[in-house]
Amino acid sequence: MKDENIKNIVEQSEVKTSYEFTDNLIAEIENGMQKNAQVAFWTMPKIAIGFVAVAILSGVLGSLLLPSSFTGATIIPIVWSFLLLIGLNHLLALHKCQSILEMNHKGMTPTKETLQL
Amino acid sequence: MGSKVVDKDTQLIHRVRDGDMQAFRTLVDLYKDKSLSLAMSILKDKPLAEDVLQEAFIKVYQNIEKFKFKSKFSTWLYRIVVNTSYNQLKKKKRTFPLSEDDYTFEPLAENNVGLSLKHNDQKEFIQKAMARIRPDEALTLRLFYLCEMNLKEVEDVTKFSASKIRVDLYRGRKNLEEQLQKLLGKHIDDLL
Repeated sequence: MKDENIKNIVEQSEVKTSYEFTDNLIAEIENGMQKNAQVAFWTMPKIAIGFVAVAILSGVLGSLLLPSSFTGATIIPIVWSFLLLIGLNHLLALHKCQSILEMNHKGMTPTKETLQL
Repeated sequence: MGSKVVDKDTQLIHRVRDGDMQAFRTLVDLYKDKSLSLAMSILKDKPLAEDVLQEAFIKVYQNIEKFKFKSKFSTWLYRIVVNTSYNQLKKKKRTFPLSEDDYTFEPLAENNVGLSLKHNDQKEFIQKAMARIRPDEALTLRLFYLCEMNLKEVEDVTKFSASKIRVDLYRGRKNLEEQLQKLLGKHIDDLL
């Protein structure tokens, strides 16, 4: 078969998208933008600033409020662990919200595991 | 003609970067059918190819700031479409050929000899034939003939070596003709 015939044939092999393809795509992008605006994880600079702020605050509060016998004692790692747990809990809660939103967006029902996260 | 298309693309990309969703819609409408044809070359399944195409266009929208105008927009877009399609193919571990419909497709009946192929849907036969040839060959054929890319551009999109592209083009032409011959018999002349 001649090259020009092949070209003519391959040109006819173009597949058309469904009628609503572009509308669905734009809706998907806009929904994604909305979802990202609703739930956002902290960025690394924010986490670093938060870490420093908590360190300073806990140092100041510790020296002001804790009895002098506690200073430099075992209470310090306990307080730090407590603060870290609060932070982790916050991240997990955000993750859970994001998962539920994603599932709702896809028209799926959140599973028990998702809700337990 | 080519530079006009590039200029139009450039303008549209700048507008998309400024947040103009209508410009993105225009960009999608310009390239969606050719992009779907490329995804179909690899996936052989229209609903799946449309899903992959949607994913690819979302990636394009999210990364449009990263496009540096070093290549044509179409080359960048098709590269994303092809990558996303091959990733999907790996995920699904689909075998070739995919569609059950391809197995059950009836050749044009010999008793319709008097009928011209123009009375049938030529495109349908051609698409069936394309669906029956290997993904790499179908992809190379479509990039070369449908998207009118040169060998260097095909290389940029597929990341295949130049020698593989030449072999795929040669085998693709041969296999396409064979498949059309099987499907259409003597009616193949109606296509020419």
